Amino acid sequence: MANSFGTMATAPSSHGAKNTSNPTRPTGNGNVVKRLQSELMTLMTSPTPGLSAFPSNTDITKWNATVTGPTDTPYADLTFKLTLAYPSNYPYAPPEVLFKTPVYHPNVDMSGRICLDILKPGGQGKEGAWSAVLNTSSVLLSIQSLLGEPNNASPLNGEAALLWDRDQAEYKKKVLARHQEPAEMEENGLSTGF
Amino acid sequence: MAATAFRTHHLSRQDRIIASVFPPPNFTTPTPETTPNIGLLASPGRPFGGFNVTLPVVDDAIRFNRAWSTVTRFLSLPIHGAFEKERQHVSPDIEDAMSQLCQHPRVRDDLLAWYANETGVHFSKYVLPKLSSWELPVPRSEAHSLLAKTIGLLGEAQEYYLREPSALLEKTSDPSRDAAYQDFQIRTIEGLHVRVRQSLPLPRLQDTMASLFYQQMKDSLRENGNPELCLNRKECQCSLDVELLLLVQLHETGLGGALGERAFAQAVHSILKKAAIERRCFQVDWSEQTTVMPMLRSWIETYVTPFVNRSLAALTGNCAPKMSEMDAARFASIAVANLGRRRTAAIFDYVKSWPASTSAFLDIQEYLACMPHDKVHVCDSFIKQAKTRLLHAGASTTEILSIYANVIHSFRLLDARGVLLEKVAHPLRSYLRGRDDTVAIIAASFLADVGPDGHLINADSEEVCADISNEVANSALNAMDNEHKTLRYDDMNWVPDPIDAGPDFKASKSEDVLAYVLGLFDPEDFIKEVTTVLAQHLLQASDPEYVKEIRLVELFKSRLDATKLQAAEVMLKDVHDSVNLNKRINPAKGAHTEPPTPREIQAGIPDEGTTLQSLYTRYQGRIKPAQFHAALKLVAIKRQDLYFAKRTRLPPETPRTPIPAATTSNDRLDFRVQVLSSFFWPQMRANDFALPPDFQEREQGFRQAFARLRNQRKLHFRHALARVDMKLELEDRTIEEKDVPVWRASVINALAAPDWEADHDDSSETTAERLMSHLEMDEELVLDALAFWAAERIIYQPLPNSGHYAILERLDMDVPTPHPTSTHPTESQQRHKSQQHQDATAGPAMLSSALITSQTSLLHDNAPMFQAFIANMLRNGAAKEVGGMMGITGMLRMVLPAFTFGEAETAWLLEGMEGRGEVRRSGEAWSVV
Repeated sequence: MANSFGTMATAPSSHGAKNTSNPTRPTGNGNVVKRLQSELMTLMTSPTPGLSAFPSNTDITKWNATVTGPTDTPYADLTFKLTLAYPSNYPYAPPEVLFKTPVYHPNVDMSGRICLDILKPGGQGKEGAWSAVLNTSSVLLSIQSLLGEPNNASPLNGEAALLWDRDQAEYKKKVLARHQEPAEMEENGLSTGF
Repeated sequence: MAATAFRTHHLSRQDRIIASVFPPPNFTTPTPETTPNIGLLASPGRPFGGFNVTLPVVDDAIRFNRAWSTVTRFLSLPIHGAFEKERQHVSPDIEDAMSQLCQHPRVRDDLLAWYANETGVHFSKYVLPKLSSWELPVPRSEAHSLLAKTIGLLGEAQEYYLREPSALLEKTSDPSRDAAYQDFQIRTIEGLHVRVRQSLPLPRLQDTMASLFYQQMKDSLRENGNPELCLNRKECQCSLDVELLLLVQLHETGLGGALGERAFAQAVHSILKKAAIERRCFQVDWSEQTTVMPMLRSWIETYVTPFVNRSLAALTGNCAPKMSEMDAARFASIAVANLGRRRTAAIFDYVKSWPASTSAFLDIQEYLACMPHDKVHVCDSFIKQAKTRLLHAGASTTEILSIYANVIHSFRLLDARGVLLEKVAHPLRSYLRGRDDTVAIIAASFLADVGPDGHLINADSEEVCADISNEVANSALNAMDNEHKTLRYDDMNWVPDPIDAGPDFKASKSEDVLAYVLGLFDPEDFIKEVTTVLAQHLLQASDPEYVKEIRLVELFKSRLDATKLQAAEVMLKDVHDSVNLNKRINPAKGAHTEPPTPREIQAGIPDEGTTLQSLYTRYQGRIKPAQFHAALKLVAIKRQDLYFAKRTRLPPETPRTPIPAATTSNDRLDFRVQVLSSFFWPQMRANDFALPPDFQEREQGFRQAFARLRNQRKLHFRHALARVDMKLELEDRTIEEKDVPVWRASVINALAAPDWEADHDDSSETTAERLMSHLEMDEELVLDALAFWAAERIIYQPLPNSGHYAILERLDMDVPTPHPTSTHPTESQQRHKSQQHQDATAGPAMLSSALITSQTSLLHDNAPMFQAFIANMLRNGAAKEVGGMMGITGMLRMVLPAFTFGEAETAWLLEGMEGRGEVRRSGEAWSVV
């Protein structure tokens, strides 16, 4: 009885399966829904500072996330919006993660795509490092640390990679010039999520 | 010439067009006698001319003209007077002329047409104006007189018009002419009748006649009827009648025939529709519960059909207008259908008064057998009536449920295969599903106690549906056994699937009320709710055998998915085990000197079985071995030298005098523990607090004994669920309280033994705060206990409204206080004041009985987590409204199945967050700060 709420949180697996007939329920099999519900529960009950994520609408396979830039980096105190789309075979395939906020970063391209090993399918004969033990929280954490520690060996944005090594002050200026806070984005008519 | 002039004068343009193609007959008036054939002048000389001329020379044309003239003069009617032409003498001249004219059929026709015209003109001029009342609607009261007047007038006119032709007929003796004259007469009458029917407004005439017939039939029914006699004889002998003379007259004046038949049919139809079947003879048979339909059929056969035959004979002049068998049968079926429709119009009332109204449903059943297409009508009527009378907020759920049960019974009577039931039950079911409390009421009804007379014992009629409880009490556990009906080839009651069933119809396996009630909901929801109610019931049950509960769980297992009822099974096993456990851990010392009962022996057998010897040692000295063996055989089964308890119900025993609980507070504390498997029970109150001192020790002892017996398993005590029987000895009185929640005992115990307050100044008075800190008890419980004891007049406030309490040792010490609970001065209690006020009115009982954590407290307990979800949702998404499909409530329910609350609760959570500055609202939408 002590952790009764914990049992309630895992018990809904049957609910998840049952509710697939519900019209508002998205397509996608029960296992994904179950897994995402438990991930959400973990995120909510033990939140990581600077990270947050939540399903964007009644489709539980599409989430919006918010990441705060790490301190002591050019991205400090900036808020970044991301979207996560989970494939139907999640967690055996990685979620598709995109920056919605414009980011000036060596490993992020103009349309927000991210070059990060754990976001690519892993396994034998594949270059990616995704694994089923990773989860939404760890993905967001990796992205957050990627902001402070770019991988300049394989840049998507060559100029940023060069500038990162040469001139941090100029780099920061470029970052701030590119960045838009969520409120500004909404004013500019950009979407911050799905 | 006058007639033609008269006619042409009135020709309209349209008539002129028709007249140009079909020239209208041109009738002449008879040659007046003032220009008579003067014959030949008597001439003295011989006529001039040739020889041998036959004189007088009269050719055919002249002769015809003369004859025509003579006859028409004889027959013509006066233009200026109504019926005042005196009877003319029929001279031989006329006779000759007539016989001459009648020789040629063509001429006869001409003469007939001429006479028809003559009578027509006369009729429209003198008779018709007197019938002008038909121009206006006829009031029912005047129908009879007007019809009588009309008949009289028409009869007079007819007689008048036929006077001359019949005079001719009388005169003649030649049979060939006789036939011709008769033909003339008949055709004249026919022509006159046609004219009458053309000049009167037929629909009105028909309606008037119908209403007159109806009135007469109704009156005759009332006069001839003797309902008491009919009811006693079980046969209606009320006869129908109309004035036969009237019918004959109508026929004679041309108003009978098809017109009269139609009017008569209309009247019979109306009488069968209303007056005949609304009589006392055919009322619902409430006393004998039989259908009146056979009575109705035999009445139609013996009274109505002969009456119709008789009347039609008079009305058409046809002596034996035998109705065919089929027509007679149709009368019966019309009457049955009308009676059925009448019953259907009140079907909701009949459902409501089921089973007293069985006969009404038998009637409807007969009606549907006779008119299969009216099934839809019956269903629609019921649905319509139910919608206006039942399915609204004014009807309580128990009422709807009991009507639902009645619907099931009654419509199963109408149609055993349940097609109609499916149709009518659907709106009820969907409405019931929409009510929040339905599941709870059904579950409570399953567990309610029913007395032998079918009334509920100790139950709130708002929360328990007696009908369902009765059904449960009377239902068979093995209702599902005949599941494979189609496989039984010797089933004589087998029927094919009904042809009028919907596409989703499937023959239900079990067809009693319970199946339908259980089918109302998703089994999972239902089981969840039942588990909660069962848990509460088990905790409060006084029957150590749990007979009722076992039966109920078995019932559910037979009807619902047995695997889903695991929780209920475990709960039952828990309480059973607890009984045994208590016996083993706390054997009542020295209490047993009389022989043990079989039940006691059964309870003493451990689950893992035991040998006869080891079991007997416990009862040694109380029972002889042989007796013990017999008793054991009754309650246990033997497997491989070990005895196991039978899980059967035992015959009831005479209750022993109960061991007084806690007679003297210290030595003998009757302490029983229920051990529950937490996973399978619903969440329960978890408030913890200090128990009265003796309990602590006993609890500790039990804990250790349990750990020893049950493989070191740990116990977690739920003090808030415990209940005690206690006896309070005050200075002037002794009060016994049974089944009191233990927190009240703790509070009164603390108040009674205030040694812990030695450091305070006023050792005899205590405030709620001190009790809370001393007992580590929640404020809610302390206040409840104080309110309870104050209401029982065990404690009082020495200074009114001071918030200090003391034991009221003598009743005369009491100071009248306005209200024991509404007077807490401190800040923290001010906050709870409104809430408390509710507690004081409805509170104590509610709080003490609510063992299971309520939805509200579930919400309060989990509020921080729900709020974290909301905060994250709003941070990562756009501002949202509370309601709506994509609103906060909907999203929470979707991502968090544990969130089972509504929009009001979400709003409450949001307000809490708003208070902490986490969210803000703009209009309807909420967003993070």
